[in-house]
Amino acid sequence: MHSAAGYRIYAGILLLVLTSVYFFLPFFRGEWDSFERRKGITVVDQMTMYEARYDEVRKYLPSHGIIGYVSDPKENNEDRLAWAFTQYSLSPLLVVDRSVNPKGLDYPIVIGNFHRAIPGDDRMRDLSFVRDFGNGVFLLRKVAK
Amino acid sequence: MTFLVTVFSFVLPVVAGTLWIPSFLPRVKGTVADWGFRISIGVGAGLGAGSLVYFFLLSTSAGVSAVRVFLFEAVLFSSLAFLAMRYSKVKTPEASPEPDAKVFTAPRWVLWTFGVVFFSLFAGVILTEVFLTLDRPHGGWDAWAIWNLRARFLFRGGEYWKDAFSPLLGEIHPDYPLLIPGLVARGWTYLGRDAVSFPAVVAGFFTLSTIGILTSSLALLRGSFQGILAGVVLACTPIFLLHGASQYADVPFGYYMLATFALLYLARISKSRRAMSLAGFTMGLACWTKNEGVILLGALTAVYFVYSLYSSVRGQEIRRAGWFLLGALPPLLALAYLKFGLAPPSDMTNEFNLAAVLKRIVEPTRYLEVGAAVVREAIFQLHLPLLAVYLLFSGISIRKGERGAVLQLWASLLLIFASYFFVYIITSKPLAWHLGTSLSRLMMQLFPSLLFSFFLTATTVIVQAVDRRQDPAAPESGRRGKSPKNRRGGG
Repeated sequence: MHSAAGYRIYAGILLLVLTSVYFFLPFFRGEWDSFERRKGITVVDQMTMYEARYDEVRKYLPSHGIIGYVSDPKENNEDRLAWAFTQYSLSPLLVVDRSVNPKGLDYPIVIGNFHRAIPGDDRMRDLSFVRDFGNGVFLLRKVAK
Repeated sequence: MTFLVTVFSFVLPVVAGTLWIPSFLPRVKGTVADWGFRISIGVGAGLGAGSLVYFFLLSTSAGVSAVRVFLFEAVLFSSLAFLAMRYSKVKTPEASPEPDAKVFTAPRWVLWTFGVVFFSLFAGVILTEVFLTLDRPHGGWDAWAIWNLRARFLFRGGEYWKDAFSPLLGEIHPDYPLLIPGLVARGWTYLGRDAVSFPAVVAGFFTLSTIGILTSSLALLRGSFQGILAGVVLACTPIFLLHGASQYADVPFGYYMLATFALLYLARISKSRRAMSLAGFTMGLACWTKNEGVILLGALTAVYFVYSLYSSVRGQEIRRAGWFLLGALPPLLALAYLKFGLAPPSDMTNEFNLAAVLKRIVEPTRYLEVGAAVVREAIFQLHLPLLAVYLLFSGISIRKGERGAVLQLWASLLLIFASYFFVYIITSKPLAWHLGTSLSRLMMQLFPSLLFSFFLTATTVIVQAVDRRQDPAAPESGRRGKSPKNRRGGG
């Protein structure tokens, strides 16, 4: 394959393969370095830590059904992230956020997930504390009217 | 122990799938490419069947235990494997038409060199997926908030597994199809606990098998060198590896889309009804993976309809379409039961407002915004200009007898892309947010199939089996014959 067309296609193949490898290698190296840095250090990911927060309260919750959810207001999308973490951690329970879905106000058992402070606003209306599990996790109950 | 059970839970569907495949394929040649294709397609077919079986058992009984799943799968899968092997004819390669297209020949050492590069990169891909998974064992947001959460409902819920479809979970799309959640819950049932590692292994299987199908299908259709080139490009695309390890359903969906296109292509050029039905099955599994499967089905139907209108053998085409639908039936029936019997309506349906949609359609700024985002993604994530430059070097050359099939492939891809584009134009969600959270994933669904179409279209590079000075007409082992007049650039 020594004709001009032959050299051209060799050049095309080399360009394609070398550029592809050029895109891959820094990415691979970045992941490798990240792995090396973590080696020997016990690093727990955010989700695993979040799940561990609910280990204790899970024992006091029903095995299935629906519970309410209350949290302190957060910035950006952190509200939804905190609720989604909680829903994932406590499934197969259905966790209904009282501040988003009014149906959540109907359920007697409520999980409290507070990161900064317990809010004093409407969110806590008709709720009484049952137990504090630490780390901002509370079991609450809807007060019977 | 977890490792052994995880391996065991994969072995049954993967081995069964690999045994089923040859009876559906038009040619059995026993080459490395052939085995690669069988295994890569077998993985997806087997795992998809495993997900369907799990959903079937959940829907028809009060509880699903590991023993029950195993017994059911063992009987069903081994019976199907026996039937497949029993009715698999030993075929000799069919007499193919002359390629009638430009090809380049290269010495065998070039193939070996690039083969070593490819397998080194493949090992690198496996390591990268492991590193990414160790970094985020639960996967990305959608992985745990949608797919793995639903798997938890199916597995942990017991007799209340249908809570996964409660309208109270509207925020996390309870109407989404169940291939990934079903497959993960099935694995957890085998393990007896919801191990975090299992969804990551599933994600790894689909990522690696996507590279496998792309490489092996092109190796079968255009020779090993062309397959390796395509495999290198896909394996070296960081965004593909990121999405693969994220445990989202987009890479599996892209896998089934590619499998469907590859099988349809094989079926078309070999006129095989069995390959058509397998293509139907993988298309059905695409629908069972993500809602975008409906767009894939619509695009394939539209292209096939137009093609049939101009076909001289319309009756034959309709019969072939029948085989395709027959294959798609099991996953489509499961999907119909999910959509009409279990899940609440989709949020897209609920939010549909014709007047607002019409208003958005006539807003030119939306087209510009979506177009700009697509171009950015194509350049900086998928590196499409690199492919364009390669095409300038290699040129276009499609075999004469396969031009219709290549055209259908490009038309289907274009329709799917146009549909995705249009969804962004009419979306009721904030456009910048919608593009930012999903465009990269949608483009990734199309990317493996785009590479497949691209390397079918670009001039083929093939290798010589022996030194041309000894035998100038010798084709690569297992390839179709070619005449010297069709070569270009020979040394």
